[in-house]
Amino acid sequence: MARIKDSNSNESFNVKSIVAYTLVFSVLIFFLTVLQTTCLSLFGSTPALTLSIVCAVGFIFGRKAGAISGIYAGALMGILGGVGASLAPLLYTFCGYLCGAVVGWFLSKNLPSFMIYSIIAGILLEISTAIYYGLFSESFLLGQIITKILIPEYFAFLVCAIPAYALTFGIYTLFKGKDKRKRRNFN
Amino acid sequence: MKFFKNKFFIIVMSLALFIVIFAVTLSAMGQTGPINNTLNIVATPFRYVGLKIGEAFHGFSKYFTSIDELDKENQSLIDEIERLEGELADSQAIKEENERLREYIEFKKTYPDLALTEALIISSESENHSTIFTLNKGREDGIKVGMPVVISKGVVGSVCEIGSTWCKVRVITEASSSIGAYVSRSGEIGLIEGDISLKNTGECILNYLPADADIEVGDLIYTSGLGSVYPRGLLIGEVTDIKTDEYLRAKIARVRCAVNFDSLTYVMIVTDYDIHVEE
Repeated sequence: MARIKDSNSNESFNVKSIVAYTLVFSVLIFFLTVLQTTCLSLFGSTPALTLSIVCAVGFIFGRKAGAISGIYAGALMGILGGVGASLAPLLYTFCGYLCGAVVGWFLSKNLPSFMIYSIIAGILLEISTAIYYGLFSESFLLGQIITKILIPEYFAFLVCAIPAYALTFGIYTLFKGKDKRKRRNFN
Repeated sequence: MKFFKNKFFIIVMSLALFIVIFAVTLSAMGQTGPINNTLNIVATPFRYVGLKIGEAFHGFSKYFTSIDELDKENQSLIDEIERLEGELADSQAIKEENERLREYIEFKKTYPDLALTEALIISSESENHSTIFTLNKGREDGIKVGMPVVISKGVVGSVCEIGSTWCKVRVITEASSSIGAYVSRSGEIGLIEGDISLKNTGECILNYLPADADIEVGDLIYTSGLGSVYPRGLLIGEVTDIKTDEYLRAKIARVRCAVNFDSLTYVMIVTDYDIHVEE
């Protein structure tokens, strides 16, 4: 069976697993984007659920999967978010790629390490939000934006990072297990 | 960094940039693409589900974000309760004072000839053999030894000791006290005396009634005015029991005092009165 390996990750997946992951994460990201753009609210802000999943995908599956899920999630955010000029595709792609690229450099692949990367991704998210407000807001009051938007959004994102990691890891383990069983049968 | 120079990274970032530029251009032109339209149609049922989930999340997060607000509201309500409790206590005190003053006015109307001075009981000494009240009025207020002390319900006692700003009152149930009294129904005259054995029951004895005196249980006993200490016509109490002393050929009645000495706070000292002589 054909196998694909991410050059920056030690993981390798067969084509069936890749198709399964793609389908599951496509639906999941689509659903989470809808959820995020509907009326999800935490700490008085909308948590970037989709970005959390993109980061988790990059972290667990590698930089290519992270970047592709990022571009998909970013495009969806741009379309479903109703914000014409969204920087989401750039940000999500970059974060997904970054999380996949840096994993294994300094820290091992576990939840605390993921949280550290999420902290960095969150900062990038807030920079992007600040840029967006700077470009498109008519009355840009930095202090107010920091206290009312950026800080609540940042913490909401970090809170969402834990379940996003658990969910992604759960899906990863699910199909990975099946993959292993199948390989055992072939052998 | 090496990985940013990666071909794959450059391609996906370029693609992302293209999407951004494409979206910005469409937005600037005020148009929506077919993909946009289709995705939004597909998303509609999911949006409904998202709305429900969002409402659940909102309620959950509101619990945490509104804690400060709830804490402030709670503190404000506690303050409000304390303020209202204070007002209630003040209101209760005002109500009691109002009640007392009303009784005082009624008493004044019933006995217009009495000159009264209101006094507060500042201490109560109650032992086995005596009950003495200390009042907050004394010589400086024109109080003298022997002055009767009353409330609207009846006789309390008389001033037995005096200081410049205080005086002591011996109640009528004391063994050493005696008051000229009469039976309101029949006019029979006797002498109210305290009895040490009855002191704790709030009762006293009506002595020196003739053996054929017309007296019954339930008769009201008033001060007779004889002896010039108490003015005539103040209620002392009600007859609860009658006995006949065969040797002394006299009747003895037990009288329950109209005043409950345990619940007294304010009393009135009769500083002056006109003596009415029965015709």
